Amino acid sequence: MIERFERSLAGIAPYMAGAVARSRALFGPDWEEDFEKTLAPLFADDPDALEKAIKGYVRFALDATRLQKKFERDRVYAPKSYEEASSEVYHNEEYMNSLYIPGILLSHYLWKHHYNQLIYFRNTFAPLVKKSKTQEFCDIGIGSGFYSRQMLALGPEVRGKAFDISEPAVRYATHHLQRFGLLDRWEYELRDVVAVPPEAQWPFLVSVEVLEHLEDPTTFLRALRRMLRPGGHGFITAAITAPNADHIYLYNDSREVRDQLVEAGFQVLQFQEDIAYKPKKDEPVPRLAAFIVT
Amino acid sequence: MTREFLENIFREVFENEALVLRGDLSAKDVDGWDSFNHINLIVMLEESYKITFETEEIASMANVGDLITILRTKGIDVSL
Repeated sequence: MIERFERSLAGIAPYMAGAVARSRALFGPDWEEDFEKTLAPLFADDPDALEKAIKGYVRFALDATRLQKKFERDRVYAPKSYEEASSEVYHNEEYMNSLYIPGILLSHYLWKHHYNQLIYFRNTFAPLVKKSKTQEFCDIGIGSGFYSRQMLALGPEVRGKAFDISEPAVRYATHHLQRFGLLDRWEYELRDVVAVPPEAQWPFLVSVEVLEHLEDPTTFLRALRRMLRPGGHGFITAAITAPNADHIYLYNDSREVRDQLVEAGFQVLQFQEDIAYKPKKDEPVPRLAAFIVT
Repeated sequence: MTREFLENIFREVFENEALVLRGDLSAKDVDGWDSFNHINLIVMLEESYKITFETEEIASMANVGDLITILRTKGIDVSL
């Protein structure tokens, strides 16, 4: 599948032909096996879906690169309210299906800092789940369902519930997890957990790259804190100096994220930060900060 | 707008004074034509021609021929 993916990507966007080779060189055969295991169930029997996903990724990546170039000059995100972002992105089925979701899904493997975040998740958060007697999690802001899948893959007793405001996202995540035979241990609810807080609490919580999509991340984090059982652990991540169509809260530094986590009542146990690429001079580059909290 | 005008844009973006445009010229033929320089090319084209490209158009430019087709839709005629 990877060879087929690589050929298709080179045909659709020759200027992105090196993306697979770069990740392969950086992360080695483990990455290759991992990417293959994602591509095969989703696309092996559906070449149209593969081509559509690649086209979506190309648009997603070009959009991000274009916005980054503008950000290098302006140092601010384009002003946009949460309602505007929701309307343009989360509730826009065409945009979500044709660009955003395939983009996010493939970026987990083709963007260095995204894959490093996954490695960090597997090395530091996953062991906490595996050794726990209760392995239930909530996933808030599911995107493509990728991290729900990562959690469910940790063991046959892991069960999860996802919350999201976007119908296209939950539809795709359902399709994604169905392809991996994981739907019997996962459910979702269309719900804004700030506006309508769930009463339940979970021993594990995942919320990946949601904070930068919000006007008020601290209020959202307080809602997450209430969803985490005392003594439980959360994996919460944020994009920093990384413009995107729906990034409305600019973090200039991972310390800003940490401060919000603490203000919301979390204790930060560990964190990792990584950059997308090395800057040529001193221009800002996209970064991801991932926090293990309790 | 002349071929020379467009060619000079490419030569500046890819820092190659010997670059010669042809319709099937693509990233596989030009050193440094990655996604960053694809956007640098787009930005310079937009500034030079006073036009704006949509994401769909940027994504669909697999070679110089595709670019020229898109420029034509914006009233810019370049013959190679």
